[in-house]
Amino acid sequence: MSDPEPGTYKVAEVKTAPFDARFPNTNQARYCWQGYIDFHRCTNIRGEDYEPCQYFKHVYRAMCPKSWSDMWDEQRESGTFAGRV
Amino acid sequence: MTGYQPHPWHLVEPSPWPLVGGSAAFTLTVGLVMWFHYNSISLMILGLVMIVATMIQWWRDVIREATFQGCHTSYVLSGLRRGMVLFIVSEVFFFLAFFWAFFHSSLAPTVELGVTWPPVGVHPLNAFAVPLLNTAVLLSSGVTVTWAHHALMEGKRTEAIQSLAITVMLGLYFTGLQAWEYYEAPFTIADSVYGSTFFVATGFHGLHVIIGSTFLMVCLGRQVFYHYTSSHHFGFEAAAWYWHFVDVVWLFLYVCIYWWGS
Amino acid sequence: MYITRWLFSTNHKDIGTLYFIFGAWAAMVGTAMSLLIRAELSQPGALLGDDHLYNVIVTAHAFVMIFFMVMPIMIGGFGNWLVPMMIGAPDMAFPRMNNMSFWMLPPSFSLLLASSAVEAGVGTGWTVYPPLSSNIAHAGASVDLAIFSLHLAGVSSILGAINFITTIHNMRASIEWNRVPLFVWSIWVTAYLLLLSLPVLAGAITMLLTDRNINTTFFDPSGGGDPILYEHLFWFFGHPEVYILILPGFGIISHIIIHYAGKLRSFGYLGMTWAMFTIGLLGFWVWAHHMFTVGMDVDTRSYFTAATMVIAVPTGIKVFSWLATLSGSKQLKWETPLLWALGFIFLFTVGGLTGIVLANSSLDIVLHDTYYVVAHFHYVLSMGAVFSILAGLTYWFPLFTGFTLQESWTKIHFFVMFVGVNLTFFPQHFLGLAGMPRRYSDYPDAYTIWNVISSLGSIISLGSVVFFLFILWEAFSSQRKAVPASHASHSAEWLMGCPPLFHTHEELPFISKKY
Repeated sequence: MSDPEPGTYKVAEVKTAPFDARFPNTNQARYCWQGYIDFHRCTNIRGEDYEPCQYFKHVYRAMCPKSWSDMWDEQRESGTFAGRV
Repeated sequence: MTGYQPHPWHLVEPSPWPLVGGSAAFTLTVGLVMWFHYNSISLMILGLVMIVATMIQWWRDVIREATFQGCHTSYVLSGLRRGMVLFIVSEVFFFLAFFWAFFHSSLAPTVELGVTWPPVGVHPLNAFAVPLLNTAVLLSSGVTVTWAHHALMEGKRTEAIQSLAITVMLGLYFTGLQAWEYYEAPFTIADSVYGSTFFVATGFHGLHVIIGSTFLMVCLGRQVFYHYTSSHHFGFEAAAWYWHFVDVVWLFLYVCIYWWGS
Repeated sequence: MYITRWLFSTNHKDIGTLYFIFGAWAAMVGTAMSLLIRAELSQPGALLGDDHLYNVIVTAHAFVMIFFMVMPIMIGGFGNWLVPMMIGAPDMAFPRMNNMSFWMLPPSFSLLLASSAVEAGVGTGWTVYPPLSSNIAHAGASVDLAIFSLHLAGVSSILGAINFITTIHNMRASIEWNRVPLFVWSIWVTAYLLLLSLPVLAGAITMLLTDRNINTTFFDPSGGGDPILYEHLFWFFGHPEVYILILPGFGIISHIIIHYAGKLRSFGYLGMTWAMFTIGLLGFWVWAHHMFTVGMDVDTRSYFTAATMVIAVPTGIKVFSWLATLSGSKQLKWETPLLWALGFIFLFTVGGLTGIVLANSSLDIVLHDTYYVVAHFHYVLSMGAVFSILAGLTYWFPLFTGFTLQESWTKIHFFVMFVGVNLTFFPQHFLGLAGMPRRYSDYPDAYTIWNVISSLGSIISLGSVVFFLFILWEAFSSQRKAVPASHASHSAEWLMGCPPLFHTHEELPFISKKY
């Protein structure tokens, strides 16, 4: 991404996570959870720099309330997180 | 019930027990509210005593009418049979609610449970230890109750008493084993929806086992007192049907909650 | 003597009479509450001064009308009186249990009234959804009392259902299945719906009780539970329940239509019975149309929309068969019961048509929990169920009491009530379409005019109810003896005099094949 020219603004493309047929209900809590799990599994296996993992990060960033992902981050650090990552 | 009666039905005499039964139910329910909100169990105990007293006296009357007055013609019996079957059907739908709750909670476990069943941190009971023994105990009791039925129909009095006594003892053994399992369980009713479905579903089943065992015990007593003939023993048949129903509910509980659910 | 007869009764007619008296009393309680609701909404702003109290009244109004007015009168009153007489049985299969079904109701009603009176009362609506009904929003004993009230009413109805099914199966004198009167069939289907749906409600409210009191988390997300589970369980009961409220009415209307058309049988008797079976069966497979807004996926909503619409087919069969029974009659007698029956057919159909609108999940997203829904179910209940009750009361009153009602006054009563209920509920369609939500004690000024008209209608209805009480008093005071011969009928309940003996069919009737 190159710097915008002075005096012009570039609107970043804002996109939510796409529809996932595994989560057809209005309640997307499980989609958020799955994205969070997938991202951390992905980076644990492939390393932090593996680009495709960013897709899952995008999903959970879009679907999860920030308080949830923050709480889970804390839980992972203290070793009390419920999911297997 | 004197004189000529040109129909086969049993027109029951006026009875106070329905009114007493309604009052007992009122006392029990208000008593439960008192227990929940004022931590006082006296009214609840009174309600339970009233219900038990109603049952004793109501069914004492039924036994008198059936065994000693001969009011239960084959037509009346056919009505009683239908009535008992319908009652058991309604019981099946009562348990349906708890199985529905179990599958709703376990087939799509929520994020709060760690999206896994059993939930993270819950260590379920080993399905192949005491629960398997319980399954064997209940299935055996199903066999012995059938043995009692055949002995009864063939007029083998001693054998019927023995097999019925064994059935009752197996029922009590089951209750004892369940009580021990509850005591030993590493989770409680408050440990997530796992504990809720487990204890409420198996708890209501246990209650039905106790009711069924009591019913069979009454039948045992009546057999000892020569109430049954080889062709006229509907009280026993109803108890046996009820016992089989309790048995089948257990099989579903065992397969779904204890085995698959762990 | 009177104590034995009325408290310890084992007689289906006396128990039926007890149900009628109980139901009539509950009807007055429920009517009083409905007038309070309409008074609160008769103008913008507060009247009761307490929004929660308003919701308590709405909740109690629903419970009283459903469980203590319509069900006791239709199943307990008409069912008890008529089913044994119509099938040639001397009494119910389990007369003593029959009495306990009745004597569960006064305790149940007391618990319900107590639930409104203690603490702040139950302001959850009759659905008692958690988390509103959980400890967080409804601390105290109110909801627990309401739950136990439902438990007892449920026990009463399950025992009654077992009794009716057994009686109809086992005690039909020599009546073949395909000659069983339509009212008996309607009670039969109703009893099966009760038997299969009420235990599920019992389970659901028991779980609610344990969630509230002994730390379970069936419906609490913090323990991995789900409030939606409660909604599924409740509506698995709730939808059959609304058919329980109307099916006996179908039976009553059929008998009245046949009688006043001067015919021996209904048009399409078999179609009428199978339509009732179908309605009963489908009633168990459409429950989630009450929950279209909870966020189910599109496929599920499509299914429940389609399944719900299918029910219009058997319902249409019934409506058109009633009309076909009436058509071609050379001797239509324009007496009061026929007026009620015609009113029923017209207004129930209106309610049914708005039901088809609501069955569309996409439309329901907009209309859910608006006054459109309130108008819909009052057209099928307040004008369907209640009209059929009044049709049945005016029709069978001479049979039950031996006296006749003042004919011209009952006709006036019909017309006043007809105007009253339509004025009350038709404007509520407009309110709903304009977006006015249910279960609120106030509204923006824009909704004023239709609310004023609605409240005006409720006053007219109240007047008709008071007038009906006067008509009943007059009938019992004047004691005009009924002449049974004027009711020579297609159905067996009229054959034994008005009023009939304490026990009818002491000697079992033989039904000839030719009639």
